[in-house]
Amino acid sequence: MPIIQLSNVTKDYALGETLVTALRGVDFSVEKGEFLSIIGPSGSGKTTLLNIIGCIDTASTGSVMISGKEITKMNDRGRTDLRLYKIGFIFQTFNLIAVLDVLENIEFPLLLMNKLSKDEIRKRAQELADAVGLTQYTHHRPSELSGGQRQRVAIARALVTHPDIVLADEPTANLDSQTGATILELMQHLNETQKTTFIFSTHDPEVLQYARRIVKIKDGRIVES
Amino acid sequence: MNIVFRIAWKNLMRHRGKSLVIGSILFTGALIMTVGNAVISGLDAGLAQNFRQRMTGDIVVISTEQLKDNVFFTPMGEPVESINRLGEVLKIVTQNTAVRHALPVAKGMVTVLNEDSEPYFQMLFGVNFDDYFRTFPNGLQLVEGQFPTGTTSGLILSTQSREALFKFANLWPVPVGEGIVTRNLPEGTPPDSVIRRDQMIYMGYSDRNTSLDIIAQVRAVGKYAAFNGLWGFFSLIDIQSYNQCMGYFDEKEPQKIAEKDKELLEHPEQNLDDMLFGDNNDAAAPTQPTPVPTITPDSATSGYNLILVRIDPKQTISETLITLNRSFKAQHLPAKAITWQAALGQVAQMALLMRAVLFGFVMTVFIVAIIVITNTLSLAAMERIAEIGMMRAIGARRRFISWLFIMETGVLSIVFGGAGIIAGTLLVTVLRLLHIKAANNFVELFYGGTTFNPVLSLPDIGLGVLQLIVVTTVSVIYPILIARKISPMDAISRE
Ligand SMILES: Nc1ncnc2c1ncn2[C@@H]1O[C@H](COP(=O)(O)OP(=O)(O)OP(=O)(O)O)[C@@H](O)[C@H]1O
Ligand SMILES: [Mg+2]
Repeated sequence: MPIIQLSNVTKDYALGETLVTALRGVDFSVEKGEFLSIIGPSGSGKTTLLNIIGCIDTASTGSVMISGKEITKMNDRGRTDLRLYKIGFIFQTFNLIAVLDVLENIEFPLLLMNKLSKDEIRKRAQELADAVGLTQYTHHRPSELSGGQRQRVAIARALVTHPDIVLADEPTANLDSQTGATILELMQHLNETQKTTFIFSTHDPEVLQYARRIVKIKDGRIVES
Repeated sequence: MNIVFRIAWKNLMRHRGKSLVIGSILFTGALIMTVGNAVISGLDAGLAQNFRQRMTGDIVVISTEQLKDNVFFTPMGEPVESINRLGEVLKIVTQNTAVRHALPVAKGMVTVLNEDSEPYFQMLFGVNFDDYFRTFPNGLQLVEGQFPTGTTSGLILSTQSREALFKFANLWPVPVGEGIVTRNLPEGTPPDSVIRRDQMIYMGYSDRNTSLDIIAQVRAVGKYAAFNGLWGFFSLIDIQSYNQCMGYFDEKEPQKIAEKDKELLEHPEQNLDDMLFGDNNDAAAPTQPTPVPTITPDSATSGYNLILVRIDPKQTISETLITLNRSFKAQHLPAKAITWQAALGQVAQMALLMRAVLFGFVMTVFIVAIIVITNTLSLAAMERIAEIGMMRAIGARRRFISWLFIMETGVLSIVFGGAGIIAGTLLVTVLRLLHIKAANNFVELFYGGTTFNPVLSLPDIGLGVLQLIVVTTVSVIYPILIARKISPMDAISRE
């Protein structure tokens, strides 16, 4: 059974009087453990697609199944819990909690889950901070970090819960190629060892080297899969 | 919930300016409400103490023929109907288990006769002095002379009445056999410039034209412990002199003497026995036995037109009113019980108005606080859309967001509101210690007595805490509704 399955998904945005159609009937499925990249020109619907898979936005029509569950029929609470427990999301625009330091920001989803001990949470957060190269910044506030450093905090936060699916919208856009490579290798490692499913959108040809499958999207339609 | 509190606390610290704005509103609101509550309580307590315990009693029994309840300050000194079958009425009153004291009072207007001036009107309470002092032990403060006891006849003149006589006819009444006390004279009045009097000549003022002139000796000059400017209209006279003055001994008017009262006239001791050992009396013995007012055979047919009733403080006025009136009805007695406020008429209404104004003021503070805090928090919610949306995107439930707001406001409420209540309590204590004196009758009504005496009892502080909780809760509801509506998409659309 595919971990993600979209059938005939459309998405319209109301922009004042007019309707902007971002997705025009998307069918595609992803198996567990895939490492997949979505590419397409700007405005083609990459972010929209990821948002719908990530339970952040809802499809206008069509069906979206995650782990065999129809998410379009779920209530807010159900989708919230799915976001917390199953999905790690790395946004194109990344937001951190301004008052918490780096380590606390990484810990945040684990604290929401409230399942592990405090020490365990700390340990995991520290590991990820190390993995994304923020060892020296663990007690900095987001405002004291560069754009790339902030993005790495967001990446660590998405990975800390060991989610089944990681969705990343242009994860390396703000990173230098060296750091970007480190992070992609980390993702690849997680993909291989934990069978974590990775889907990311990108323009970056370097990123594409890591992808084992590439999906092309244009004008809200999948043109090549 | 540890993480919620941590974020809430750090947010408060980060946005100190905003925290301080809400905090100072909570502080000021809590302070004003605490003081306001104390003033209202002080007003209530003052009125209860001064009117109920010193002047009017809790309940006033009047004749059913008396059309207006406003019996003390009747317009133009309009007479109050006498209570018929007084003995039976009194028996019902004293047998009521809630009643502690019952004082029959004959209230009426007399004319002061003075050869050198126009006639002057004065209000009198005809009472049995012993009964009076038993019912209102702290009502009067002695200024000159000796309070009369037992069957001593004569007058306790109020300072207010004396000053009125002085202004009107340069008269200065003093107790029998005593001289003028210079320091009690109005300022700058030489003692030899006033006309000393130790007795008053009264002509009863009654619509029946049967009154007599009497001589009443001044036994004492007294000042009411509170509201002297108001209650000082009334001087006390022994009931026998009062009845004589008003012509209640007139045999030509036998219809005034009801059948039942005649019986009492003939067998007074039997009726008194009845009152003391009547059937209901021992059924539920009050903790403190109700002293039976002294009514002599003649007083049973006197001008008694009021019975001032003081009840057990543990009992309520409204319930006692109901049982009394039910008993009167059951026995077809021409009497009805009314509240002290009703009997005071406009005076009580003034006090109630003051209370309402105060209460309105406190409520205004309350509502303004809610509006300002709601507004500030709603703005804060909107400024934090990106952050809240991101928390939601990561998996924070709506409940988490609600708790964040509750914690933030709650901490402010406890810290600043709590400080406001404490500051209010201190301020009230200081105000009490200042013993601010009322400048006039009007202010006295506002204070509920001669000095400004706001009261903060535990229930009052409890009320303050409750008001604070309500303000906080109500203020946070709308901002929470806004914050809960923020979706993960809102986080993404920004920036
Ligand atoms: N919230 C929105 N309201 C209105 N229109 C939107 C909204 N989000 C996206 N769109 C529109 O939907 C289409 C797809 O946008 P989307 O952000 O998915 O593109 P993208 O492929 O991620 O582009 P980029 O590579 O620039 O990030 C665009 O035409 C865009 O203008
Ligand atoms: Mg995009």
